[in-house]
Amino acid sequence: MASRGARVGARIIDAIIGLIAVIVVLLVVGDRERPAAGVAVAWLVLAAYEAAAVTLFGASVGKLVVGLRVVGLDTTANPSFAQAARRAAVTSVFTVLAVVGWIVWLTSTLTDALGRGIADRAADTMVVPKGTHLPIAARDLPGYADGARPPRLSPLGRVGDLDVRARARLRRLVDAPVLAAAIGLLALAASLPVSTVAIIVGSSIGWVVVFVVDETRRVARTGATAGHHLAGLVIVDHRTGRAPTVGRSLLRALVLGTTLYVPVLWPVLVVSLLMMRYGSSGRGLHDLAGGTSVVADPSLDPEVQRQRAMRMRLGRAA
Amino acid sequence: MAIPFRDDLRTRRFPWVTLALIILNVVVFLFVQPSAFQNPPSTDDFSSGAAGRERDATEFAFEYGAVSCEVLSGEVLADRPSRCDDLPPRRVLPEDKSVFLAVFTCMFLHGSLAHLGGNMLFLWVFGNNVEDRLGRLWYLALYLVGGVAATLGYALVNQRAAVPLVGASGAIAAAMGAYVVFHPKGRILTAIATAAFQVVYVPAVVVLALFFVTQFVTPDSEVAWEAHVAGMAAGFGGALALAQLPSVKRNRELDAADVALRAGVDF
Repeated sequence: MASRGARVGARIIDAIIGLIAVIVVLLVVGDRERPAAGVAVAWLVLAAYEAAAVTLFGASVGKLVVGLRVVGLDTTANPSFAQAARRAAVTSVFTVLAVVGWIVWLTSTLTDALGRGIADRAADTMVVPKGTHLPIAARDLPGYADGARPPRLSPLGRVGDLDVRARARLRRLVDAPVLAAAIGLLALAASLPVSTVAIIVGSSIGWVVVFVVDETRRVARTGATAGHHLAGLVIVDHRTGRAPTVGRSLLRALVLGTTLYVPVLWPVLVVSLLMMRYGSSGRGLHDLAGGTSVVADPSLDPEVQRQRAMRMRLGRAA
Repeated sequence: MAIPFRDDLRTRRFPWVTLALIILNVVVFLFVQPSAFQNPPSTDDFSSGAAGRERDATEFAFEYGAVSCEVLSGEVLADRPSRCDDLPPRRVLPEDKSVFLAVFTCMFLHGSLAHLGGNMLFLWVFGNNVEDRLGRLWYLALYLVGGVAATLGYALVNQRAAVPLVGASGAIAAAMGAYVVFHPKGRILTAIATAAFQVVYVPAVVVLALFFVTQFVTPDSEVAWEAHVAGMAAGFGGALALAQLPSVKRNRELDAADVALRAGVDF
């Protein structure tokens, strides 16, 4: 895996090259009355530079200077043009979408154990130091990830990783058609002659209530939501190792629902996320409130569990 | 109030037609449409330049946008047809407009950057899987026919309207209707405003329901919901008919085989 310092250095060199190229092109073809067209041209220039460099040399100029290269998974060849173009197109989109794009892009790279960001995942590529033994097999990625970021172990089992848990939450409604329908109904119920802001706030409050009820019911019954099942994780009582009681599940769901969905509490959510990422037991504030831990499902074979977690991490959960 | 990001279905071929349609729409908006569409003059700018840019945009919309009463009467607005309400001033109206060509051209034009962005996002999320199932030519045909049906549907409901209709929404609604036929269990990763902006995988039908509910609930007279309904109905019906084609049946079997293969393999 490439060091983050080297990648930052490479990115700075590429940014300077890209910026010069964009300024030159915009001086020639730019039009002040068409700012959006200017952004599109900047995207095209950056994407063309990255795609051409990766196809021809196996890396952008910045990466070559610091001794890195871009490789495709499951192959010893340089990335194909299609892979390079896809990677360059995605990277450049997030480069030109100032602030929000940069946050998404950086988060995706920094939270991945192997530093594979959103563009690498889209193109099935990875950035590695020059001289790395190839090929890198996609199915070996869980092992490399464990090597790069050793799993945390608690007396109850392997602790659920933050990125896997966050992705599992996206699958929250997979086995909850009633909840999914509730979203639609909330929107329908909002068809009152009031402002859009009132509709959003009112129905969102309704959603949080529905969420807390459903989350409590599922966690108390089975110790998991659909997302947890897919990721091979289970929510257990921190002391007994069994499914939490209704009261504890309710407390947990209340803290989770409010921190997740009430914007003024997002600073608290950030603290909770940091606890989940860096704490030895991976317990967030909602886990502390409910006295719970999220760990690998002990009923699964450890290798199956690890593969499930990695599939979730890669966004390939079925 | 629902912003889709991606779905959880894989495709077996690269969606070239969808990508080409997106590029075409973006290029037309950024480089062909007058600059006032992407950079409207500020309301307190009374200079002649700003007024000129505004007028260019209006003239362009009337020349290449579909106008209901023009489409139904076959006469251009500049000829002051009697069955049109609220006729705009003659100076912004083109005299040599091709009324029926506008039914096609209007589906490649957009009113604002947000309009374009929203439409292209929906097209990318829904279009690729429909293209994968139908094949490129049939998909393109469905898209274009859906767009025309949407314009005609709008015109039939608003027969006397003399307002130019622009946007790919009708054609995209057709792709969305076809998506529900081909992938009724597809799940879309969506940010939902009415559920505290949470991002979650929801069934495609919920996204569609939200798409329509938003239009009916939001007091925004610029949304041509009639066109969306007509487009989606055309896409739904068209997909049901096209599903009987041997090539589409075969693609369906291949999709099912791919899903079965993946179920047994971890990566």
